[in-house]
Amino acid sequence: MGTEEDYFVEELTFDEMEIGMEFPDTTYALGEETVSKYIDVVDDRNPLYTDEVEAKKSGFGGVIAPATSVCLFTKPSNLLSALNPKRRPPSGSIHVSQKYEFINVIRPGDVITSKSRVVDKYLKKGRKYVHIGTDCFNANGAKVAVGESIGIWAK
Amino acid sequence: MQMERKLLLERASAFGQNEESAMTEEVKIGEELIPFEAEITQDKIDNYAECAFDYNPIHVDPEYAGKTPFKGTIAHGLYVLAFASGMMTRRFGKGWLCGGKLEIRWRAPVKPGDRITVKARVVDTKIIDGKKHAVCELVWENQKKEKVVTGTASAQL
Repeated sequence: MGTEEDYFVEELTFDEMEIGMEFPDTTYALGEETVSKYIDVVDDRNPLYTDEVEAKKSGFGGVIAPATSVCLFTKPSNLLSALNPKRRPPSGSIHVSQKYEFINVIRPGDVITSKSRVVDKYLKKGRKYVHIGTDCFNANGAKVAVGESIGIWAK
Repeated sequence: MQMERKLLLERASAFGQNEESAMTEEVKIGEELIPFEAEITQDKIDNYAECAFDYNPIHVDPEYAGKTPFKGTIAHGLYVLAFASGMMTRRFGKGWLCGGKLEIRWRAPVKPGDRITVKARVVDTKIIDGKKHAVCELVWENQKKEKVVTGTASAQL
């Protein structure tokens, strides 16, 4: 959810959102150092990410980044922070479930643009559910991944 | 011993064109993927926070987190989710990286000191969007055998 300072950013409440509401595009450069650190943290040590020779044999033409690298920049707090002024999910909100589809490989150094929107919101057992859908594209305009975050909004 | 050899072969076939066709044809319902194990530490959570630029104090500030109902820091949900991708990439390679689908639900917090084991089993093969996929059921368990995350993942064959 960003830095501690982000707690002074205004919350975006359930009532303020509408199905179909779009958030501004966000663009993220996936740096080589980040990929390297990410591989280490999540302990996903596949030669596809580090060994140029093995990666070429795989048919991808060179090293790639883990599919879940998109998780680093598609969480709801990132998407809401693109609003002007910046907003954030209300404190106490819970990210309950998540869907991803991995469509094309992502590479270290790729610049990824995420387009997101509210795909659903509803009350269930008195809880405020919000679904935020995100499509991620590389610099060539190819869709690399699709995500959907399902959260219970605190307010 | 034979099982060990099978696992090694599976590891070896995570990439490489020659193995790719054999790798996908061998998928059998009931097959268990090589489990993934992780020891969660505050250092790793801090490193994940750096990668994701997500310094929410519930993850990185033990003093703040200690005063919450969690009584301590918890790992980022998307950090724990990522363990599945490593397993699926090793087993299915391109079929996961270009055609994989994941759907998970977080059920309990993961904390520093936890030992997480992720198990995955092929439960079905089916046509999704006109292409054949292997469907796996996944469960993340902590050292107390509590299910902390559950989900399904499918890879194109």
